[in-house]
Amino acid sequence: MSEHSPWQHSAENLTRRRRISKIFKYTCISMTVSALVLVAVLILQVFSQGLSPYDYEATPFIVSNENTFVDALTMDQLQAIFSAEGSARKWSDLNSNWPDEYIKIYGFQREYDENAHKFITEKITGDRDGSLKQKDATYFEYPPQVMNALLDSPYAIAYVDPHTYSRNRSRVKALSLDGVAYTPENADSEAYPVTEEKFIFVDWDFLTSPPSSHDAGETGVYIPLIGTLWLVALTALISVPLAIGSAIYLEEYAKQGRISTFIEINISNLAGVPSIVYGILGLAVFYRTFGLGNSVITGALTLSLLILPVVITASREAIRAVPQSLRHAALALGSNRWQAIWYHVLPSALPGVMTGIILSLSRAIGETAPLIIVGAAISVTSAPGGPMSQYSILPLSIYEWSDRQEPGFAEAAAAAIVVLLVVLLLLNGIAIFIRNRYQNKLS
Amino acid sequence: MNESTPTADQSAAEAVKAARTPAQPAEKQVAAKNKPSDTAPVLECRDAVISYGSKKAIKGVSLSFTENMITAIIGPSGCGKSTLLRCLNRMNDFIPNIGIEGQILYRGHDLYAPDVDAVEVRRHIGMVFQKPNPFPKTIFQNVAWGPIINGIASKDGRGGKKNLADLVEQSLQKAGLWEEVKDRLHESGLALSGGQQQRLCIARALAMEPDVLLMDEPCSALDPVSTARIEDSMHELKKEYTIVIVTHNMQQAARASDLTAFLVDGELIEFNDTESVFRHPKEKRTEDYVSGRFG
Repeated sequence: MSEHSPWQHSAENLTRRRRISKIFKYTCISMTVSALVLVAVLILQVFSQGLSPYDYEATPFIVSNENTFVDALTMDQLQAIFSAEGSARKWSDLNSNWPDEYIKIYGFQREYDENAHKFITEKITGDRDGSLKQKDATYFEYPPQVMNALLDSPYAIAYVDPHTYSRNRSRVKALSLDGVAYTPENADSEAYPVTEEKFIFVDWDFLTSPPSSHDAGETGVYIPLIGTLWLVALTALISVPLAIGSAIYLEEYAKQGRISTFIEINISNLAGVPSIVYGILGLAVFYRTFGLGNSVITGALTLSLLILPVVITASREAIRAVPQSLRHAALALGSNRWQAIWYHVLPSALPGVMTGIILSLSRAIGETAPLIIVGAAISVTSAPGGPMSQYSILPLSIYEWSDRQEPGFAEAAAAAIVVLLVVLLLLNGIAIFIRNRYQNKLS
Repeated sequence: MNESTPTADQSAAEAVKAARTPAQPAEKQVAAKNKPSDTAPVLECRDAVISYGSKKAIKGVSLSFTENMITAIIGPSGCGKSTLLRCLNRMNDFIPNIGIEGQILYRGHDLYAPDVDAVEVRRHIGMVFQKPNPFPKTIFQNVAWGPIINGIASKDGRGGKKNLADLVEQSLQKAGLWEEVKDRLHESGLALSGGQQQRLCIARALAMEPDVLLMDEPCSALDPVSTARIEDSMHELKKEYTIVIVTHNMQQAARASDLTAFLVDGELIEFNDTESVFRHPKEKRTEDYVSGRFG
């Protein structure tokens, strides 16, 4: 009689199976973690574009060329002049060699740009919430007004923005501060004391300004954003009813046979066609033959064609998954096919259908190449007002900005990406909310 | 040879005769609806042959279902009981290559005549399925859906329609479910137990106020307590409706039905009142089946 216990074989088998099971489990976990890490890296990359300034802007402090006595000031002197508690009221207060004239102060304070003003105040007075001198001082809305006022008086001192200064270089001179001259190199190295770091913020201004072609600080995504929203709305309106209707017909009404299988194969194949091919198709059919030109509706129709196969397939799967018992229950109560589908099958299939719609619309939002072909313009002067308007889209702006050399546009592209992601998340959130409500109703 | 054992020919002839005319039990009153009692049965099959493609499931069955009675169709698995039942309200229309010959008559009208609307048929002949299949909606909506889309009832009972709330309550009462759910009509139907769900399905079918109620093994997925409850309600229901029940549970057929039809392999072997079929079966196969020797 052998010592071999009856459990020995299965014990070995069990250990081996447990080991394989563990390996499998950890492989899956590591796959998931890798995918999440990739996504995290992507998002961090985008957001980190905004962490460092894309440019430095130095504020020139100027006097008119008729002012012969001052070329440079120290920050203390600047503070004495400009600060509300500053002691200097006349030039002679600062330096006995200087004229005994009142110092006229000119500056600008844009109503909508509080931050810029606070920046200057902080640099001058050391306190963001401090105040600038009001006596003998005039603050205008726009730098050119400041420039005009300055040119009238040799005893005035003013601060303007770099742009206005460079336009009037021949008539004024920029003072050095603390021994540092007002030059671009000094600005970039932050040696010049009154230098501002420029960032791109995704703020209300960014969202509501039209794209600017020369200044990244002024640029915004308003027009492409509205264009994208219009496009998505129209695409959804066109493709969703078409897709659901087709899926219902193919699943519920069509006779299962060679023709039905043929259609199914073709739809699956169409889902894999590269998007640019749909662009060319849209150009030929909607742009030219239908004569719709480069309007939003052309883009929407093209995108609808693009996503239709995917939504149809997802809807068919969802409808197929509804158990026959549900249909029979409805039909046995004396309803016709349409009533059974509308009141019972479709609501049951809705979560699956919504998933297909979410995935497809998310893809449609980011499509660029086919839309370029059907005429999404890079620069459009205003947001689309109707289906026949010209339009621009966010992905296109991102592409265009990422290509430009001027400082700040790469960061602006990143900011636009953030906006696109937020729009995407909002849309998905709405769709998921709808889907969850129906799923809760079902269980 | 025993005198009480008839010859083969005679027993065959008697069997055929027994199949064609169900014996009317003396004590039972046939309660008629608002019609004069007529000799035409509510539902009738005449030489029905039903086939799936080339395979014949029902081979020449002639059967009639009497008003206000519970007729049970019994037989071993695969004998075609459910197929026959589904033909009675045209639910077999949804099976692709079904072939139906012979006649199936509802109050004298051919159900499969070309101008008959199957949807209309199902309004008069309702069905309860083997596995409870309530809609994923509230209890109230489950019962109310059929009447609403068929225009039988409306919320306020105007326009010649019944009051919806009343109709729902009556249907649930007839199914024996009202007391248990009257306080939670707006909870999901799927939250009920199996027996309750099946009674909900019965209530749903009754809300359509059908003439005939077909039940395809309604208790096979349920526990004995729920089964007993449903059988009790069936006794009440037969006063207003005609019931045809398919069951593989012989005890249920013996308990609950008035008439019993015994099928084997798509053929009708015996059809008589339940007492006779179970106590004094005329056919040997019937006797073997009801005594448990086969099937």
